[in-house]
Amino acid sequence: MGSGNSPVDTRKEFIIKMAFSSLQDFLAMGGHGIYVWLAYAAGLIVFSYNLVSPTLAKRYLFRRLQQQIRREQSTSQTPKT
Amino acid sequence: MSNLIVGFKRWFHQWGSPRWFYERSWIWSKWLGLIALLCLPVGIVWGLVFAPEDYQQGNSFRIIYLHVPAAVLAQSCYMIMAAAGLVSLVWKMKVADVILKCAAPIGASFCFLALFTGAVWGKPTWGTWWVWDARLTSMLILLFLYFGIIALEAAIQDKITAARAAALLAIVGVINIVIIKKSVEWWNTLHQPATFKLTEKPAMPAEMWMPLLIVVIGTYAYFGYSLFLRSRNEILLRERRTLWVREIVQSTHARSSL
Repeated sequence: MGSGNSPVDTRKEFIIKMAFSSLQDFLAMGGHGIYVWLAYAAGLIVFSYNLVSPTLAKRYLFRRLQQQIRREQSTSQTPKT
Repeated sequence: MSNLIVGFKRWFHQWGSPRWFYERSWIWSKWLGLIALLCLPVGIVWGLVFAPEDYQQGNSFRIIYLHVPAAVLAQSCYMIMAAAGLVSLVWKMKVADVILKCAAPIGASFCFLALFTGAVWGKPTWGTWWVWDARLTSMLILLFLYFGIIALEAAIQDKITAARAAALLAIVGVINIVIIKKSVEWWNTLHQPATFKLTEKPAMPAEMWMPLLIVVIGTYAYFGYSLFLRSRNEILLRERRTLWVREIVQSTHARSSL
């Protein structure tokens, strides 16, 4: 800490550079690693849920409706034959 | 002028047609998915790796790149549901019922994420996981409102009655959104005020708020994408007796439909 930014930003230039010097540094998050990664794990779960849940529901729904149509077709055809 | 009114009426009428919505939303959801696919990885990596650390909070502030998008979305989602509820009550629009029902689980999940990341962020920053202050408590109430709407939709068999009950709860609950917004001004709180305001420049440097803005945009797009996935399923289910749905179902293989 220390070398960061003051709350009122007076600089004009826009800097993009890595905030960490090594992978270990990145994972440690300056001693806050457990909090940061716990939060991001929850984020991953919530974002995945919102993709996986409707996708599985769609697969299930199509299978169910297809079965239903097949059943209706077979029952409507049997009396004729 | 009368042309304009006729055009508007037609546009409005289309929204009442589940089939029109089903056919169009495929293209919209593709674009939203693309935006989310671009914005979310870029914003998250930027925020986690390249944004400078905070001079007070160190690296724990990087939780902001999930916390703020989740909280903003949880509130916007609720407003969308309340608007859909109003449309549903006034014009009896089927698509609005579907939107209201399908947005609820998504909003609930993001509301949970906002609360969870807030607690995890609060521990190193405030020294506690939770305080019963106005902002946190009103967000918890928002989560319970979401649960209430989900429960109403699940408990009431009749679709029209369920939609009416859920719409009423969604509209009444808007007062809670006002309380969430104003909570950091009306009461003393540990929670900091909003990061983005329409009237002022953000207090943080651009290196910090730019990635945040990108994640917020990506999260909105992701929400839209997920909402369309769910509503399209719900429309097929509700309209399963109609010819157009039967044709779609029959012409699609369960596997390739993904």
